[in-house]
Amino acid sequence: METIQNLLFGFSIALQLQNLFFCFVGSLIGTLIGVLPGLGPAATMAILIPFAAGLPPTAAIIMLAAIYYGAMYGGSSTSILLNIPGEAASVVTCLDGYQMARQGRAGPALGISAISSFIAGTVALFGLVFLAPVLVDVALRFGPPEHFGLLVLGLSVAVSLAGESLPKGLASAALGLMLAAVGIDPQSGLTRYTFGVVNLMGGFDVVVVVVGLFAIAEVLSNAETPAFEIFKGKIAGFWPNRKDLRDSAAPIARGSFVGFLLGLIPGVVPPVITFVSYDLEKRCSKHPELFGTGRIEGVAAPEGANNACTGSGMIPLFVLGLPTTASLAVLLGALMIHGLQPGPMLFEQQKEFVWAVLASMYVGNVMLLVLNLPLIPLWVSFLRIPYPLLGPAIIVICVIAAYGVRNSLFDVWIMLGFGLLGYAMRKLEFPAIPLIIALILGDRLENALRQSLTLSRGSLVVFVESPIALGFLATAAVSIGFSLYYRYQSRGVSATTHG
Amino acid sequence: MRRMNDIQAGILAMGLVAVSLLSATVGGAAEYPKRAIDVVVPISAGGAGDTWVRTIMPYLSKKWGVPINVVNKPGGSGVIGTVAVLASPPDGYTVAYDGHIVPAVTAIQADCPFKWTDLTPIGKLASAPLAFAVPADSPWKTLKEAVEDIRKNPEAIKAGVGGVSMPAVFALAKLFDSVGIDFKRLNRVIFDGSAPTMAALAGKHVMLTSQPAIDAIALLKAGKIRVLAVSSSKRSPNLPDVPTGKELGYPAYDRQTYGGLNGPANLPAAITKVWADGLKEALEDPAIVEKLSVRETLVDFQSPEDYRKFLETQYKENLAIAEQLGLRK
Repeated sequence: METIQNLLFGFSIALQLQNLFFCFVGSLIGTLIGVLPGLGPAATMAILIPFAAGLPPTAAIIMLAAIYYGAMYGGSSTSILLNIPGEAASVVTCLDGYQMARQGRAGPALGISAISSFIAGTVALFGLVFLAPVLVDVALRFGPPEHFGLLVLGLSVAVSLAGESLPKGLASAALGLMLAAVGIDPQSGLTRYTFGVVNLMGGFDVVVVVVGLFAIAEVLSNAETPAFEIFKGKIAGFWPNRKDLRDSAAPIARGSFVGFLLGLIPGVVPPVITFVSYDLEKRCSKHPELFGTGRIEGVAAPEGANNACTGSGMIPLFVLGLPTTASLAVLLGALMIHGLQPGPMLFEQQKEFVWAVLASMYVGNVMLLVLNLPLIPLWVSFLRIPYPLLGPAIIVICVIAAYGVRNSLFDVWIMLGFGLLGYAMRKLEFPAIPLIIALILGDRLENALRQSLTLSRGSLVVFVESPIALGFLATAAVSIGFSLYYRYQSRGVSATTHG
Repeated sequence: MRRMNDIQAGILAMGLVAVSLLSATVGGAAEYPKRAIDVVVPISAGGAGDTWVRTIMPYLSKKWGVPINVVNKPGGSGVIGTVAVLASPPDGYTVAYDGHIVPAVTAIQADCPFKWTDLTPIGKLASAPLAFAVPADSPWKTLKEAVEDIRKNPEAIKAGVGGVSMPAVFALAKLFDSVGIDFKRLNRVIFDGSAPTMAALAGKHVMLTSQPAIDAIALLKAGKIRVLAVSSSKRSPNLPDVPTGKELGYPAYDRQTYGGLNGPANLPAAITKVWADGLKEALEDPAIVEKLSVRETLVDFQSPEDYRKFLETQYKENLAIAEQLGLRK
């Protein structure tokens, strides 16, 4: 009961004119940087900290938090429209979102992504108000073996998204794991596979690789087809229809739930959460074979998941001072600059602040919905630009994005190189997604494995002793088993129909 | 609009002329700085060192009347950004931030593309203590108890470390070495940064760690961990009940995280002096001192000469430790 009172009290502060204004400013900036690939929320927040330092603490944190979750809203736009993920967390949205856009259904895809983000944001808010303090202790039980289990589950998604040919999918994943190993060995601090090239010591940034593999390769292969056939058919409405909403309801709920729970765990980053969520949907669907061809569930669930995890990540941050993502680490810094020391006492001593920020996240979600829905016709109308003009413009955006990630021209060349690789992979029918999944998870997987084995002095029993790790590993095994079984069956079916 | 810009540029130019004339009469380094300066930060935006730089640079930008861009070039344990600065002309318009990157990577990587002596030290900015922390239910109530217990069976001890090149590794190695324990015999689990290490400590996956004190305070207040000592020479204002290593009779527990600036090789002494004087002044500004102190950071200015000696000591200690632990390859 007291919680509800506190929350209402929080709303009364969040709705003050000044706080509303900064919530709006943050949401707007977040949407913009989400749309622009390359400049991520963490860097934007860091750059704005000196400015925010001049604001009252509550207004400053409200604004910075709004940038964070606003970016998650905005990140899906370019994924859906142009196949350019603004953030690693919106890679998965490209899979079905971009296909929907090509079928003239960009509007519903954008609409469902905004609605799903909104619902997930709401779920996360209530979850974190009522449940999270209890769940924080459970999240801390995640040690290296548990992380390893979860990451293996994430990697198992690569099998189910391997496309037509399993060997080709696995080859793509293997290439991703190899690329992930380039750079500094996280456990020894020594260089690996850099061949004396200093820039390779930084490894391959996921956004740089994805922009090349997805967007550049897409422009290259579109250049082969007559320009007016890229986005097939007419633009079929700006909003999701009744069937879309019905199809998305359960995925949004599941996505929110998965995102909220996994978002509480320090070290589990949003891209992993979106992959797990996408895979879950595929398994729940009656038509898993249609995923990747423009299913609205494939947009709704991961978009919900990545928004829910931004909300739940606030709890380990406020209660334990543990940031679960890079952006939250910046937010932690901002808290301290304002003299707000995280910890359970924050809820006691800075009641006004904590509840105002939590309430503002709800206010911000409403604003983002209001901000994003009317923009949809505008975004969609970009697709009316003739492709001979749009294509080069996409390449320009890609170059800016790749440069922006680390202020590195080297990354631009890497991005273009991956563009060519992506084009070749398409021609040879190698799927790109397993490569991306493996690249995102690779170094984390390696770290978790080596940490676990260090802890156990080399004994593999460590993965069986932990019920959580064992649970994840078993789920991964079942998941791979089902994928293989399904693959076998569908091949049998297609063999009979064709034969 | 075009005309407006010309006028603004004219005013700016006149202002700059006035400023440079003024400094010519006062200081003598008339030429520098007259255009925008890049401070390359070889870690991601938002990290502790990055915020230190972003806190201090606006003061100098205002003082000198030129823009100072903070450019993040992260990756490769900081080598990429540092190499980028080493490749720039030594004209003072490109300088590098360093927070234990240079003396650590040059000690660990035998094939590191630069030596610490390739850089021209400009000055040290700040330092921050480490905290020796254990889970709240650990049997070790004091640092002495911990050390005595570890001595009995070092192999059974799981120590969390937030990255091989982090000051924490060297801090623990130095502490244990001073009491005759070989840090190599402990089970060292390497995490990717300070926050994951602290999470592992709070979750009791490791038995001890030594990370920046700032990252320990919230968990301490939440009752998840205990801090047995801090590595600074004086007690931390935010942790008044925690003794220093020195107080407890372990003066070797003295490694801190720090931040400083370096230029490329052969940076002229006149330019180094402009920077060092500017930094000294900025670090006396009460607003900057206050902003740093809330982040558990103490202003710790060192002149180019002192900073060079400091780097040399750090490098030599690191090299010995890296060789002892078998890190250097």
